[in-house]
Amino acid sequence: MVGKQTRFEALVYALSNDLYRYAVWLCRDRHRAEELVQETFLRAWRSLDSLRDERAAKGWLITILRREHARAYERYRPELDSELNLDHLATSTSHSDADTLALRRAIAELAPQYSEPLLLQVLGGYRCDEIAELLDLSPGAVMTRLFRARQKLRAVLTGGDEESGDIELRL
Amino acid sequence: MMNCLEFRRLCLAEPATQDKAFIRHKRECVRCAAFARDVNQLESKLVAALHVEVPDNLASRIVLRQSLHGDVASEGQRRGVYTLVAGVLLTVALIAGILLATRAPSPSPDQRVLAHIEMERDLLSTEWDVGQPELARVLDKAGVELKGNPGRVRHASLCPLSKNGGVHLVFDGSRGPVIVLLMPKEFISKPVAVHSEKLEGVILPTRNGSMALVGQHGEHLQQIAQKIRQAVSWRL
Ligand SMILES: [Zn+2]
Ligand SMILES: [Zn+2]
Repeated sequence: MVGKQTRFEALVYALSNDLYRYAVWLCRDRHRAEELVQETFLRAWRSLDSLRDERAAKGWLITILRREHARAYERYRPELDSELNLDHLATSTSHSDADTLALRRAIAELAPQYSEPLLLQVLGGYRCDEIAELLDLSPGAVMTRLFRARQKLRAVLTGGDEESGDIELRL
Repeated sequence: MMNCLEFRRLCLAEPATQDKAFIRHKRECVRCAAFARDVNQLESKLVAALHVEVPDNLASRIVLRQSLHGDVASEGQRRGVYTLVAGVLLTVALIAGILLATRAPSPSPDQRVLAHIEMERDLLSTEWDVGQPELARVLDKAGVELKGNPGRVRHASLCPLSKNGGVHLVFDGSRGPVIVLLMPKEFISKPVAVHSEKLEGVILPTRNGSMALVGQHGEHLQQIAQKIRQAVSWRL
């Protein structure tokens, strides 16, 4: 039987980076993201006994984090000054080309119902059915949102509007 | 059989899908295979766009905070905390000289401040301005009301290591960045000097606890303390 402390630290070292990246995009602010991740793990520690299977740990932590985020958001509604914050999301050292910047901006402009499944898929590595479970949606709804999200982002890169994406899709 | 429209919808919804019909269609339909290649390119660009650098010692800080505030401390546990704190800090090779030099069971306020700053040393490299609304939001959590303008603030955040709503601020000093730690409920009776090889500072009593200012040697810390005192009021 592994001790609680060891078990907790294993989770922190394995999952805190993923959780942090997800949190940064969720609240679009590095400092608030760290607050959120700290709070999430503190809560996780306190109810660690309720986690039966380590394989479910990531989803469990994401659920806690989303709940914490929603709670914080209720208290404090940030003005979506995404322009300013976006530049802080990436670091000054990382070289960003035009496509990357355009995409970052476009992702930030997506409504949460579109961006959240996308973040879970691209950052979290989840499949549609798993995302459906995490977000309490039907798999069909998740597919539709992901499909639309990528359609929008594709349009940004090709310089076209979503309509042309539709035409292409209709062949 | 999956048709082209179904293929493209699935491709955009789940590019990495292992669906058999999807894979077969991609093999047999040239145009959809090209479409899938295109979407895969978008995918790698997406990964690049979503990339976020994670702060160096995030994991250590999470474990540190849990060890300090994870439990309503029971006897015995509390005694273990400083050992554990020292352990974590040493693992990340941060405060070797500070806690080791003094084998005191409970570090003095100035040692705590230095250890704290070492732990959060990435604060020193932050480069942006904090607007008044964000500053007011952060200060509010430390029981401090912002009434005026304390000058350019390069950084303001809640301290993830503090349970009393501690706050970090970084100001521009005359010799480099000056870190200010607001520490509610950490009361001291008179000013305490802080000194290390590279840094010097002072801890001052405030109405709801204390405030540490730390910068390079020879920094005009009192000026900054003065500006802060003029710009804020402390809630009790
Ligand atoms: Zn086809
Ligand atoms: Zn701190």
